[in-house]
Amino acid sequence: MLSLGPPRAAQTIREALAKGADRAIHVEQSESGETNPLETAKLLAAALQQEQPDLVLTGLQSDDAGSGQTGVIVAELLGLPHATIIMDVQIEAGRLTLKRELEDGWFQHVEMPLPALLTMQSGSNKLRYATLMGIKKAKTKELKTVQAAELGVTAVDGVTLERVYLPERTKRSQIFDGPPKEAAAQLVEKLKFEARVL
Amino acid sequence: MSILAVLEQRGGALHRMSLETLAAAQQIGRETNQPVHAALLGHGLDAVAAEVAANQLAGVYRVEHELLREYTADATCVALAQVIAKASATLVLFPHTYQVRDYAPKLATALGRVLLSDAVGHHSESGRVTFTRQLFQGKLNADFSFAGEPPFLASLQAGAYRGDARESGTAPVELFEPAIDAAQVRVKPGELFRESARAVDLTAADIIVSVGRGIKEPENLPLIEKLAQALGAEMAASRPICDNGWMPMERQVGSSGQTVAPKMYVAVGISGAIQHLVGMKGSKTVVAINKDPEAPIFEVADYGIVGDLFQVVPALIEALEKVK
Repeated sequence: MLSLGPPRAAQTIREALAKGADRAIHVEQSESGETNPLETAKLLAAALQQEQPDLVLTGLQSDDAGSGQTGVIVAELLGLPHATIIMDVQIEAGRLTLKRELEDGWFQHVEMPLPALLTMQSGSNKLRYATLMGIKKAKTKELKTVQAAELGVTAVDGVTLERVYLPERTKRSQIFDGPPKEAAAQLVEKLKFEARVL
Repeated sequence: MSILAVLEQRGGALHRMSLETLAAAQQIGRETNQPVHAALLGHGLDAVAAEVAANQLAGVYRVEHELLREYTADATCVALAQVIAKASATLVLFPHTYQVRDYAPKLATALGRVLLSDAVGHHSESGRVTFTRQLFQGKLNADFSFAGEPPFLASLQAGAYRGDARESGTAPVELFEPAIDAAQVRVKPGELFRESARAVDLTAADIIVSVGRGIKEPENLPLIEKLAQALGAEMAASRPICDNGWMPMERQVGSSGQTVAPKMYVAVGISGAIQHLVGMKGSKTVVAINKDPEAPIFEVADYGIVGDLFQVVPALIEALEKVK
């Protein structure tokens, strides 16, 4: 498994090893490393180039920046075909047959050759638990740390972060935090006479 | 200097978010004094192009090719790079749909650019436009400007702009046939299908009671059903509940499920991840029940009860029965 992150990401990488990954590569980046998705993808692609994998799996989007782009960009940088929001993967004779999730309850099967990159939808697989044996073994498995600065990736100027701020509340919420019975009675009163939805 | 709105259609029907992108493009065009074009990709697009041409636009590109009949990221990127060059577009706007997420990062990379994805709004000041993105699941907002040379690319979150704010007009339609080689298309798309005939149309419900991870066990769902009955509501759920198989997928509300805007939306034990909020924030009245007072769901709630749902919901059912 391959991960890009600050030194503390190593803990999560060990967890992945404990859950069954055979070896890991940690592209280490300083904590403050402000990146855009292209820069992130360039670092991952540079690390992948040395591995030449047949199949690359990524998530859909991160919890912090949430750009939802990294996987697709990595595919383009490596010249690989890709498919996104994948629910199911079948491999036969060097070809992939995939189930993609579309919007509004629609799905689609797509086929593509290997090597390829897929971004995986949640719920498509269940992550196994780390066993005691797994946790023990993880300590001796290979974890290669590569410094991001050593990958020869040049900075990308595409977007500039101008400012970060707390979002303005668009709604004025009325919160009831008293005892449940009291709160429920207050809410029903409001729904009936103020919102008039009952 | 011009703006290009890339619209999404399937089988001649416009994606609802295409109209929002069109409205955003018109607005930014007015603010920055730039002409706006729209582009539609596919095959046999006469009717849908005519529909788009009934808007205030400098022109509509009907981008047609046999290899665009069925969507692939490969063919779409090859075609769009040519459309952007032809239109000399400096700003290219997309609806942030699943399809756009599949191809727009690739297109931006091929053009040596960074896509600003999932923007929730913009500011323009003396011709310079910045876009706002949400960070950390909507806890923070961040404004970004574009650096380097155009074209600049941005995709817009569902509901960030109002589709009905469009200005109507009469725009010329131009057929553009891009050069696409079959060898450039590596993915073979199959037919679209649904897992089950959708028995429930949540978009038609007046009241929706939606349940999230706070319910803990599927055995606890009857409690929420009872609340739905007391309100005369349809049941819905957030993604994790459907992923676990506790509720059918067609009852999922959020970016990967249905987008709803009922008179009242009651979120029970839902923290309010951005993917869920996108699917319900248009609801007229939002009620949230959650034990975490910091849960993002309270940000969009009109009324909230902070408390343990296993105590609050029975109390609420009782209070509702009293006013009947």
